[in-house]
Amino acid sequence: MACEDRPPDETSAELGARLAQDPDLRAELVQTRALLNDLRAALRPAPLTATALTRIQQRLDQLAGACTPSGWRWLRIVGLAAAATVLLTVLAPWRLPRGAPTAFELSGDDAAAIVMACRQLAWSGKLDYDLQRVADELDEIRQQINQDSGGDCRVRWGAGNDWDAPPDSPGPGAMQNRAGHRLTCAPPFAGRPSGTRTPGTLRDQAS
Amino acid sequence: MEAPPASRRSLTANDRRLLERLVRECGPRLLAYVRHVHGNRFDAEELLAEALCRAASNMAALRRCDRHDLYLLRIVRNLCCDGWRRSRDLGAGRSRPEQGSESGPEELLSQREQQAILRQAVAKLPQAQREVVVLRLTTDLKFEEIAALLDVPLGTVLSRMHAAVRRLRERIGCTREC
Repeated sequence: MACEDRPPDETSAELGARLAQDPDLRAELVQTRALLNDLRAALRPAPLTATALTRIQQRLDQLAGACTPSGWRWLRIVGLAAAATVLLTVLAPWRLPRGAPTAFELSGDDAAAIVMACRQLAWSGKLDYDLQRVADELDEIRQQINQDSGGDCRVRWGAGNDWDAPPDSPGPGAMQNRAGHRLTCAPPFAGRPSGTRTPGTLRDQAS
Repeated sequence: MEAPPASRRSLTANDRRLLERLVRECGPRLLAYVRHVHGNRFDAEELLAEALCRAASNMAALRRCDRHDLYLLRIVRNLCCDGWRRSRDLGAGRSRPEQGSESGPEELLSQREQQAILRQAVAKLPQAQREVVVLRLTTDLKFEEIAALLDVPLGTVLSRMHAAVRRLRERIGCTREC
């Protein structure tokens, strides 16, 4: 029978009964089990040799090599890197780190637009911030510029013109037009403890 | 060997570790299966490497299955069947599995020679019976699992095992008595 190599406890009760009655069958079972045990020993798998392991390792290495990015994938990676570089190059001047020589120009119209935007935001009451004061300060700067150069001036507004620095600090705290005039101005939140906010200031004023 | 599938994804470190673990755990049994069932017809090591590469080409399926040994065994068996079919189509003669060396009667008592005789007897079994015997004795699969692997009914597997044991007993008994 096919299941002869199973342990005795796995044999069915019927088979057990037959084995108990038939000594020849019992002897045959013992012989068959011995044969299967011998066969198991003869066919026992040998451990992998070093040569076999090396060959398999090499095939897996080849496979890993074949799995490196294909031409299209490389092209995509290079394209993304180039796009990121261009983006960083374009956006770098806008970061305006302290001490950097880059600057952008702010015209009188730009300043007026900013003043308007700040006033609208402040009046809408959506922002919990004292934008009215910022707008006033910007408006004052714009008017000063117009007075100096008849409205046709461009302000160099770069990292060297830290208008948000304290007014008593040397160097920054002033803006300079092309004519070389220094345009001193107070910082928007000067005279107020830092970190304090005045929510609803404009609404209070309006009421 | 056939060229590996082109649509392979890169192997991660985890994939690599899994494959190396499978080589350690299942490699010897798979090699034994190839050698005892198919003899020296195939380069067993190359065939095992190819089977691993095929498994690696679909790591998702390999990770999903709960019996990695059965999965690899199926690939190995398919590769062997493909090889058999190709060689048969080419008209190549069949080669018997490793049969061990013929030895004189005075050496038959030694364990080594006895094992050689047993391997020789197994090698002379018909292919279908030999495969069942080898799968049962080298890979420790259950008969149900062997039936699933060979895609035959359980009764067929049991019948083949029974016939193989009867033949082996006859052959071994004759050898020992002679």
